[in-house]
Amino acid sequence: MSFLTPLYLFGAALIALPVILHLLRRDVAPPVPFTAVSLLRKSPVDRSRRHRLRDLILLAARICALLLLAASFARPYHAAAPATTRTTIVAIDRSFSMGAPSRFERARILARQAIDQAGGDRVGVIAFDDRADLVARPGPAGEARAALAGITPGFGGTRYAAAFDKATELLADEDHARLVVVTDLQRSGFDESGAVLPERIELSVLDAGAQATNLSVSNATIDRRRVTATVRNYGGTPRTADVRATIDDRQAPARQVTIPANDALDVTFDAAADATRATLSVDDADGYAADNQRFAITESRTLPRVLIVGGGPGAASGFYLTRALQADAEEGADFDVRSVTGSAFAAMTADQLHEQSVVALLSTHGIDRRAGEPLRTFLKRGGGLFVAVAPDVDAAVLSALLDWQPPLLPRDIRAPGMLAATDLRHPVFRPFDAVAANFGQVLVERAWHIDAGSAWRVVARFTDGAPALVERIGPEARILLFTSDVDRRWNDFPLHPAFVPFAQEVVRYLGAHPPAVSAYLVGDVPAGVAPSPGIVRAGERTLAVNVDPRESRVDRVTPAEFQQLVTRSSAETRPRAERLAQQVESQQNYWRYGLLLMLATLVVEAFVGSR
Amino acid sequence: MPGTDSARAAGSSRDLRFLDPAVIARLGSMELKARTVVEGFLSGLHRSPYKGFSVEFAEYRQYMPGDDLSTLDWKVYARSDRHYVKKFEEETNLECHLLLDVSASMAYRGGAAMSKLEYGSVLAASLAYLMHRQRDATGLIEFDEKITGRLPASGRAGHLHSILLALEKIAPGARSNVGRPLHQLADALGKRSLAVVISDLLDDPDSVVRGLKHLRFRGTDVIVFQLLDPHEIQFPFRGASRFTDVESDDAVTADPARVRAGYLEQMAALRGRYERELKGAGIDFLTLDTSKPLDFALLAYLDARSRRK
Repeated sequence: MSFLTPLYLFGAALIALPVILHLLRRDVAPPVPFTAVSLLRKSPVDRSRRHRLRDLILLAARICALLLLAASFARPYHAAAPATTRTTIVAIDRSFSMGAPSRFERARILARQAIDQAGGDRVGVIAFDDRADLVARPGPAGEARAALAGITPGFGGTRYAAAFDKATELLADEDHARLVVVTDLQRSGFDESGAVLPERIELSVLDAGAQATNLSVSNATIDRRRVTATVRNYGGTPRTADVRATIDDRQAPARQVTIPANDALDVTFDAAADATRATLSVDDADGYAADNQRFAITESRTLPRVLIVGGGPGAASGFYLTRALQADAEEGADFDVRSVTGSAFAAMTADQLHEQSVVALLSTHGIDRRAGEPLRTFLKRGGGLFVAVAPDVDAAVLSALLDWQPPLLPRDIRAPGMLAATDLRHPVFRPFDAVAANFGQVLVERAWHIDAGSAWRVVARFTDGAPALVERIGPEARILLFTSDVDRRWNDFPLHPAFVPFAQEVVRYLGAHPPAVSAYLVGDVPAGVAPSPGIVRAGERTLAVNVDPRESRVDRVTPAEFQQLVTRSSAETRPRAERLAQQVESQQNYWRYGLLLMLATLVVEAFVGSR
Repeated sequence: MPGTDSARAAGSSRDLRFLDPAVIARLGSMELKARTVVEGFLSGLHRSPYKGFSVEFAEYRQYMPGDDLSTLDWKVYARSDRHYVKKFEEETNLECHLLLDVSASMAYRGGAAMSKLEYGSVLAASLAYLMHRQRDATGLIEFDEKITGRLPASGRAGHLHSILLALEKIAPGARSNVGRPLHQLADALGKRSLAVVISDLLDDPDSVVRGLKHLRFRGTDVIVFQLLDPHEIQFPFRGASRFTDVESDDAVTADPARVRAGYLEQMAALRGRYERELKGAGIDFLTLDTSKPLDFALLAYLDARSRRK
């Protein structure tokens, strides 16, 4: 009998308590001189002997109860006899490098031999590339042998750590086990750390064969009316091969190139300006088939959405800002601009606002408290807010909407001077660089003077020192406040050339989001996307999935080097023993019987004690 | 016992105060104790039906202020137009023996102000005092398992002093054997004598009853006062205790709460047996609680004395 948490056995020392009480109880029966002792004898008394017996029974019951309690908490279990048979796991490499001619057939033969040589061992099979899957649970050799037929090389890269982790998990309960790895011994399989195997697992490596040469399309891009394929020669001799391109379903003429040994070559094809997808391939019958083809798409371009909140119906506010943001760039407008009235904005939900990147608030007319919660949620979700002060912007409404404490208390100022960028390192002004001085041509007639305090960071000022552009300080919000208007009522800023880039930089800064990823490796595809190369649709997005170019390398390790590159862990032994003990204990659940027995003992104790 | 209740009711609290064992215990000499008990008792009797009991008319004398008007002889007054009071005198022809148990168990004092032996001594002294007032010849016999002391009965002046002195010097003796000394005394006591046995009777009841019956059989009137301490009557102990016999090494460990009912049953059975068997033999039997006043005992004696007239 063993115990999972033997420290609780120290609790058994509590049995001293009833023993002491028992002894004390004896002491608390002091001698009392009396005359009619003979009458006590004649009455149905608790004779001292009977009393003593009852006390002993009570003492024994209490000691038993405490012992059972301590033993139950110590979680007793009966350690099972160690298994007499060993387990062998055969891990077969199914990375695309194993798709080389006759490579996988040889691997199957080696795996079958390993199974045959396992003798009476229970045998399991796992297949691995970037990840490892259990193909056959440890069991009879026949099942393992049958499972081999279902394994085929895929498109993943080799990662030995995945195989080791899976084998460790499967052999967690084994004292002595064996792992046989059938692989082409690619060095790239050790590129990532984590190839750790417990010492108790014996490791054998079977070489499925070497690859002398390989051509691959290691990169493919669509850029500026060109499609480029980077073709790499992993062999020791120059190779001549045809490179082909299919651009938007149109086959481009093949180009024959010679790639120097252990070198790469960019092969370019002309493409239309609106080309969105391309498949590039190289003819290589001797190397790995999976890396002869690569897919490319143009990165999807999602325009930042800007919601301009103007005044009531027919109000002219937002005109200049809208035009500034819709100004044509080389590839069209950079922003998707939409204007709404204050009342329409107040009716928008948080989810509707979430579709926007930036809200430009140019008026608080028609906005009520309803808009506060969605707007704050929008900001918490990473949205940006640009506020330009205008005659119809109410500071109190603004403070209430954004829950600013203390509220904004501006005062009107007249002729504060010209605009001057104070912080040229700020992302809004950084692109202006030397031409930032052009802001000095903007003549401002009226503005708000706000006390920046600790809540605002001043990015630009007027020449009289009053803050012109301030940024709210805080971890959640990205808010810029322009203390004059952008509708040419308090200044002539919209008429100046600097207005368009200023507006665009403000919105670009406030609406900055990480670029969407559209190129994936087979081993990293998002959920729901098949781990095979190609151009695939994932919801509204188009993704290019390619094989890992590291797998195209042909450099190898020897079986001896392989063994050395695996980190053998011994620290796992103890947790494993504990885990085993926990499993056994949880199956046996002796503690429950212990507690039941303890309850029964307490019932006996109560029964005897009441008599 | 006729008139007991009314007699008790008649005793004012002021009078009974002097019969309280707690008060008696604080008094000095045995003579003082006896006199206090008896005088207190008799003053309580002035308004009781026992007035004039056991005493004989002696003479007339002129009334003096302070005399009890109840003793005024109205017939003489009617005839002579003068106030005369009746003067009484007690009979003197009774031989009384006080048999006091001095065994070790009598020295027990649990919940009372006096031990059973002290209480018994005061009772004996009071009875001796009362007997002396009635001119009875009084004797004292002390015993445990045997007779340990004896003063023959006598009505001489000064004999009371000897009895009180003996009672004052009394000390607890050995273990009880009530029957044995009673058998010895049965032949020694006169036929028209009165024996007052004062004992806790915590002995073999067969032996005790046989001894007392032997005494009675020889023609001696017997009054038995069984003295019991309140602890012996109520068994009020708490908590597990080892009860050790004061006369032997006998011991019983018991939880009083569990054995109380059985004990009280046994005690009641013992007392019931004494009462039943002794009364059947013409022996007066009375159990006295040593925490209670002595008037019960004195009344019992007077009752027995009156029946002898």
